Order: sequence, then C-alpha cells, then structure tokens
Amino acid sequence: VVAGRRQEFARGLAKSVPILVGSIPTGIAYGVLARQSGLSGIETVAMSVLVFAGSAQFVAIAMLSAGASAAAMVVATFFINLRHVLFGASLAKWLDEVPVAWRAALAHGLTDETYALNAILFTQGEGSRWTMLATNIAMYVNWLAASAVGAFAGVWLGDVRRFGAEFAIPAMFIALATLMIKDRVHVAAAAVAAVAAVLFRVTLGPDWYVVGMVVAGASAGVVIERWLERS
Amino acid sequence: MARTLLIFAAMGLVTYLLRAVALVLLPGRRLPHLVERWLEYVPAAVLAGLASAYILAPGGSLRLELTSPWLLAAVPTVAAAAWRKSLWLTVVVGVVAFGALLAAGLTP
Repeated sequence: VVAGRRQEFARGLAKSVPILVGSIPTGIAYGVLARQSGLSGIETVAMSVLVFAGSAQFVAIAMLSAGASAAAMVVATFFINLRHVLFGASLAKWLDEVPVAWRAALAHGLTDETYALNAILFTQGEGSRWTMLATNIAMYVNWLAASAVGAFAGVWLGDVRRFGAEFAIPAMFIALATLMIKDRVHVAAAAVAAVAAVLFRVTLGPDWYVVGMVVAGASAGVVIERWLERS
Repeated sequence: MARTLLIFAAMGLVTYLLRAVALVLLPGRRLPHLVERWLEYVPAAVLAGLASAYILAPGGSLRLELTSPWLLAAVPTVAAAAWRKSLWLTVVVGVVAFGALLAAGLTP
C-alpha cells in the first residue's frame, strides 16, 4: 500500500511539471509588482502563503495601492474566487470514498491549474487523493518560491516573460482539452465555452469570464445532450 | 504591517471556504440528475475556455492578427496535441514555438 501511495504521489508530481513551469513567470511577476506597489518583501510572500490565488493577489495589489478598504478587498476576493465552488463541485464525485479531513486538506490547493490537471487525472483513472495532494503541494511550494524570487530578486531578472515559459499554461490546457473531449457533445460544449471565453474575457474581465464560459459551455452540453436524446 | 497581514488572512480564509464548500459537503451525496449531467461538461468547458482566452485574448484584449505570437504558437501546439496526445510533447512544442516567436521580435 505504501509503495502504491508513493507511486501515486510521484505521478502527481511528474504530471504537475507543466503547470509549475507555466506558473513561475506569473509568480515572479506578482512578486515584482507587489514590491513596486509598496509592499515589503515579507508582506509580498505572506500574501502568497495566506491567499494562494493568483488573480485575487494581483487585484489585491492594485486595490492596496489605490487605498481600498479591507472590506472591499475581502469582497473582491470572494467574487474573484467564486469559480472555485464550481471546480469543487466538479471534482466532488471522485472523492466519495475520501475522508472529510482529507477533502478539507485537498481543498486548500484547488487552483485553476490544479483543478484542470486533477479533473483529467480522475477521468483517466489515474487520479487519487495522493496524486491530488502531490499536485497541490508542488503548486503551493512553486508559487511561494516564485513569489519570493520576484519579491527579493526581481530587479536583477529583468522581464522573465521573454523566454516563452508563459506558454506552458495554454499549451497544457490545449493538451488536456484534447484528452477530455470524449464525444461530439463534449466537442460542442468545448466550442461554446471557447467562444464564450473570448467574448466574456474582453467584456467581463479576467475573473468573471471563467464563470461565464463554464455556464455557457456546460449548459450547451446539457441542452445538446437532451436534444440528441429526443431526436 | 499587522493590518495588511490581517487583510491577507481574511482573503485567504474566504478563498479557502470557497474551495472547500463543495469539496467537503458534496461527496457521498446524490445531486439532481440534471446537475450531474451539467457538471460532466464543466472540465471540457474550463479547459477549452481557458486555452481559448489565453490564445485569442491574451492580457484581455482581442488579438486575432496573424502576427500574434499567442495565435501562431498555438498552431504547432494544437498539431502536437492532436498527433500524440502527450502532455509533455505538447508543452515543449508550445514553449519552444512561443520562445522562438518572441526571440524573432513579435510582441507578446
């Protein structure tokens, strides 16, 4: 059993590498921006330790330097991260056998990237509490390290985005999407979500578009599924 | 300093509760059939949507021109994904293509 756990944990780490590499430029950029907007190095890393949510942290930096109230920042965090409720609901059916304390621990690391990866691993029968734990720990440590590098060494690095590592994240989403799309209803749901994502990204902004595209894509899937059943 | 850290702690608590609410409460319960069917399509929608927003609207503005490195790098990346269905190969092809396009002077 122990060997099985170790293998699953190791597989989770190995599968996480693309999302780790892809998140490094974002973490460094966060660290640099946070320092530029007046946070201390300690505060910059502390936000990554305490919040662990990329887009909410970028918004928080902007709000802090604009002098926003604490309440406004917490409310903004709530709306920005509301999409995680959907991610949790989507993964829930794979965790029926997992004790509640484990689920409470696994919830800590439920980011966009770890959700996407774990949804695929579970669907392919390669996921478990141990692979999920491995992806979560790897992503957390990676995020803290990248934030710290940005906060304390950012000035010497210049623009880290110039090496192309940023593209690891969309490339991984593309690879995972081709694995996830099982039949023509999934193709249709994915296509509707892809169009909705672009429309909502440019109109609703970086946080709400995820909710918009999921609602549009998944609803289209259900409607088309019903329609195919009837005809 | 102390006030800032308190704000971050409150933000972290809100984030955690949002991540935990469904993951802690839902497993072991039966959802209505329609909700279960809806959730079936959430991963495909998330993956396709995130990929599409990254490539067609990087940074939030529409980039449909043929000199966008995001759009150009997506071509070999999609081809690699369709060819081998390998996560690694796809990511390496994408990053190398994107890096090469930036080195060639295209604006990310």
